[in-house]
Amino acid sequence: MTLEYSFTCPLANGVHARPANNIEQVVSRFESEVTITNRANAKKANARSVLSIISSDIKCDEVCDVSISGPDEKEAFVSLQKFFEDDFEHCDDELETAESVADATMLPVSLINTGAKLYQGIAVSNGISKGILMNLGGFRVPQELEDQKDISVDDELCRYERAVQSVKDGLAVSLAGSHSKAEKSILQAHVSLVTDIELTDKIVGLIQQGGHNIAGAIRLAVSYFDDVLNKTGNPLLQERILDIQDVCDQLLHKVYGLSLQNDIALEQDTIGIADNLTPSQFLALDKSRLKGLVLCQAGTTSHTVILARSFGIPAITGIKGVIGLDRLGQPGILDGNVGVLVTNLNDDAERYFDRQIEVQKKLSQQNRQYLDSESLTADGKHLSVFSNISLSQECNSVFNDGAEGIGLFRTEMLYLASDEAPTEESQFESYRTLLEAAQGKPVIIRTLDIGGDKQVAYLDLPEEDNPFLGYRAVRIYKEYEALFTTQLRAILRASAYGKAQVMIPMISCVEEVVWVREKIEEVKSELAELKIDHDADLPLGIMVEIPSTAYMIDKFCQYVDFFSVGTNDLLQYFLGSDRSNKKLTSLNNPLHPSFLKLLRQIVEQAKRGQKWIGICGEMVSNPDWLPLVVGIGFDEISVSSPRIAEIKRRLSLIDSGRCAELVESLVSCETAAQVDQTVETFNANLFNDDILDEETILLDSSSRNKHEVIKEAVDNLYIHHRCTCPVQLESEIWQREQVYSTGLGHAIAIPHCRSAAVTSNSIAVVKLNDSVEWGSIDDKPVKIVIMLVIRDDDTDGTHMKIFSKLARKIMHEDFREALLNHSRSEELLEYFKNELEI
Amino acid sequence: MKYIAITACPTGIAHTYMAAESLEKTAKELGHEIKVETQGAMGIENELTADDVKNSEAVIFAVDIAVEMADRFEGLPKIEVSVQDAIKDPKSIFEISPS
Repeated sequence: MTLEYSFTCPLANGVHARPANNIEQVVSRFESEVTITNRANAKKANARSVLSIISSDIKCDEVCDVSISGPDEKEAFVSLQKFFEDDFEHCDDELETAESVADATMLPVSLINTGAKLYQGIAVSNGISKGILMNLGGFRVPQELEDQKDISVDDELCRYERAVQSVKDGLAVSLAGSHSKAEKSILQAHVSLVTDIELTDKIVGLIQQGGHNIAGAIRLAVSYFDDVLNKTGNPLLQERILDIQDVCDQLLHKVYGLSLQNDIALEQDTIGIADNLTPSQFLALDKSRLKGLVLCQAGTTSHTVILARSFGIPAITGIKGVIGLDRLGQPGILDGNVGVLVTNLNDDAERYFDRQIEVQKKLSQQNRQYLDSESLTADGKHLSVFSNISLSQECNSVFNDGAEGIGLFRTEMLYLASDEAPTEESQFESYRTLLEAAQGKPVIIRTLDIGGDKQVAYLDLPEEDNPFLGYRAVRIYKEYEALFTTQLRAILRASAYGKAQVMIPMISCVEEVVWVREKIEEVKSELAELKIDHDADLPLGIMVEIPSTAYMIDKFCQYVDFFSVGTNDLLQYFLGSDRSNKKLTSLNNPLHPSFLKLLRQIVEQAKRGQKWIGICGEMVSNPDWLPLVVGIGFDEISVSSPRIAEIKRRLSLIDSGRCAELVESLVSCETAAQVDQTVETFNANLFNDDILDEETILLDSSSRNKHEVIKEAVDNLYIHHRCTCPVQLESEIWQREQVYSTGLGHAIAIPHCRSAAVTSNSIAVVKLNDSVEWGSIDDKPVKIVIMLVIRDDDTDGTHMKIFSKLARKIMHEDFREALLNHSRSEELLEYFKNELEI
Repeated sequence: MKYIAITACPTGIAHTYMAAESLEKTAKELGHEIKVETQGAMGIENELTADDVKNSEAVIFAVDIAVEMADRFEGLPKIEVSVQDAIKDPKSIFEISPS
C-alpha cells in the first residue's frame, strides 16, 4: 500500500539545503520509502537524501506529490503531514537573523553610479589594485593522489567508510561544543551531507565500477554535484556547493592526512578571496602576484591583516553577501581605502579608479613634506613617532615613510613562518639586518608572543577554550626556556650592531620580570665569557597590556627601563570584549572614559619612576586622537607607517598644554560618546584655513559628468585637509542635489551642503574644459562649478555671510561673465576676494 | 506695486539668497517696491515688521519649506511660488494676481 500526500511549497527561496535537511530529518526516523515528485519539472527525489531533494529544484508555489510506502508508512505519513502543515513554512525563519555587521560606512555615490557590482566590507589595508578574482580556499585534489592506482577496491571502500565515520564523529564533537545557532545548522547540514545516500552511492560507484581511487572518486563526485546545483540557477543552492566541497575536503584529509598539500600557486595578478587565512598560509603566497585580499571572516586586527598591511597589499574583511561563483576568474578591483570589491567592471568603473589612484598619488605627495621633519607639537614638544613591523624586511619602507625608530618588532612571524623553531643563527641574521638598516635609530624587539591566535605546530601547546586568556607569551617561557634563551642570545648578539631594546609581552606580575632579568643576565655572562660582542646595557622593557600590570607600574619601575602600552590587548582585557568579534566592534572603543583614566594613571606612575613610556595599537593610528596621546603624556607612539605623515602634520597643529587640559576634562565624562564629542570640538578649533584659496580652485578639469565633477571637487578639499571623509561629503552634496538641481543656468552650478565631514569651511571652484550636464534650470550644460561647504557645527556666521553674498552676486550677469573670463587662478582668486570682501 | 516677500530654501545656504536677489532686482526693473525677508541657515534676516505688512499690497512666498511666523501675513493677499520659480522666471511672478 502506498500513502500519498501533496503540498505546495510556501518558501520564498524554494527548497534549498536547510528545508531539504529538515525534510530528511523527519523521514530518517522511519523505514518506509518516501519519494517526492515535483509536478513542475517531473523530477523525483529520494526524501532520504538531502542532495536528491535539492536537485529536484522545488521552487516557491510549486506543487509536489509525496508517496510513502513501507512497514511504518502510517506513522511516517502522520509525521510528514504534521511537518508540512505546521513546520515547513518556518524553515527559513533563521535566515532573517543574518550576520553582516560590516561598518555603516557608505560607498562613494560616484562609484555606485558606475554600475559595476560592488561588495562592501571593512577596509583594513589601504591601497587600490586590480587582479583576477581567485578563491584561495578552493577545493583541490592533487593529481599525484589520483594517480595512485595500485589499490584494491575492497580496501578503498573500507578506508572510505572509516573516513566517513571519522568525519561524522568529528562533526558530532563540534556540534556538542557549539553555542551558535548558525554554526549548529551548518554542522548539522554537514552531518547530513557526509552520509547522504546520493553522495555515497556516487563515490562508491566511481570506486567500484569506475576504477577510481578515493581521491579521484571524490573529485568526480564533487564535480558532478557542482554541475547539478549550478544548473538550478538558484544562488542559495549554488552556495551549497561550498558545503559539499567542505565535507569532501574533510573526507580527503581523513584519508590522505598530511600528504594533502595546501600550496596555492598564483599565476597572474590576483585578488585572493577566502573566509580566512592563517599567517602561514598568507606568507606562503607569492606576494608579487597577490594584488589584493578579501578575508570574509577575519577580524580587523587579525595578524594576517597586519601582515597584508605591512606588505602594502590592499585588504578588506567582513564582506557582505556572497561572491557569486561565476565571478571567479574575472577581473576585479579592490579598494582597500573605502572597503569595497568591484566586479563586472565597465568603462566608467575603470575610469573612476584610474582617477582615484591619481588622487591617492596627490595625497602622498602632499604628505611627503612631513616625512623628514621632526615630530614636534605646536609648542615645540617632541613626540617620537615610531613604526611597527612584523618582518625585518619591512624596515626600509617604514623608514622611508618617516619613522624615527621601530616601536615594535613582532618576532612571532619568525616562529610562525616555518615548521620548526627558528635557529639562533637565522634569528641573529634577521635582527642584525634590521639594526644595521636602522642606522642608529632605536629598534624595540618584542620577544615571542606565541599562543592565543598564533599557534605553532612544533610546540605542542594544549588546545584552550580561551586562548586570549591562556598559556602564551611570557607564560610559556619557563617551560620552553631554551626557546626563550635562544632568542635572547640572538638579540644580545645583534645588539652589537645597532640600538636594540628588548621588550616582553603579556607581563602580569613582577615575578615574571624578575625571572626574565635572571635569564638575560645568564645569557650576558655566557656571551661575555665567550668574548662575543653585545650591548651589556641592553634596555629591557615590558608591554603594558594586562590590567594588573597597569596598577603596579611603580613597582615595575625598579626592574625595567621602559614601558609600552599595547592598547589593542589592554583594551580588550580591560573591557572584557573580544577585539576580533565583529559584533563587538562598537564596544571596543578606546574613548571609554575608564580607559582614558587607566592610561593617564599608567603614564603618571611611569613618569614618577622616570621611565620612558610609549603606546601602540589601533588607537594611535587615528590622528583625531593624537591630542589624547599628547595630553596624557606619552613619549612615543608606534603606528603603521602610512599614517606617519598625517600624524606629524596633526602634531604640528596642537599645543601640548591644551592637550593636557583636554584630557583633564575628559576623565569626568560618562560615556565614550561624550569623550568623542569633546575631542571633536577640540580638533575643530585647530583648523583655520582661508575660505577660498588657490588650492581650492581647479582650472582645466577633465571631468566628464556631474558625478566626476562633484567627486573631483570633494577630493580636492580632502587633499588639502579641509574635510575628513570625502565619501561622506560627496554623499551629502548629492543629498542636496536630489532635492533639486543646483544648476542655476548660465553655465553655472552651485552645489552645497552643511556637513560633519567638513573641517574648514570652503569655497571650491572647478572650471571645466568641456561643459557637463547638470540638470540645470535652463537645461543647458555647466562650465563652472562653485561648491560651498560648511561645518555642521558652525555658529560663527562669518562664512555663511560670505556664502550668501556669493549667492546674490551669482544672480548678476557681469559677475558670471567675469568668472567665465578669468582664466588664471591668481586672477580668479583676486576677483573673488574683492567681490566678496575677504 | 508695494510687495513684501519671504524666501526659504531647503539648506538655507544659497538659493534663499539667490531668490531674494532675483526678486529685488526684477522688482526694481519693473518699477515695483519690495522688501525681502530671507529665512536661511543664519536665521531670519531683514525681518518684516508689522508696519511693513501694513504698508504693503501683497506678500510673495518664494519657498520650498514652511514659512516661519506666517501668521504675520494673515489677511494679506498672497502669491505662492517655489524658490526655483523666483530664480528662473521672476518677471512672471509680478504678473500674478495675488489672492
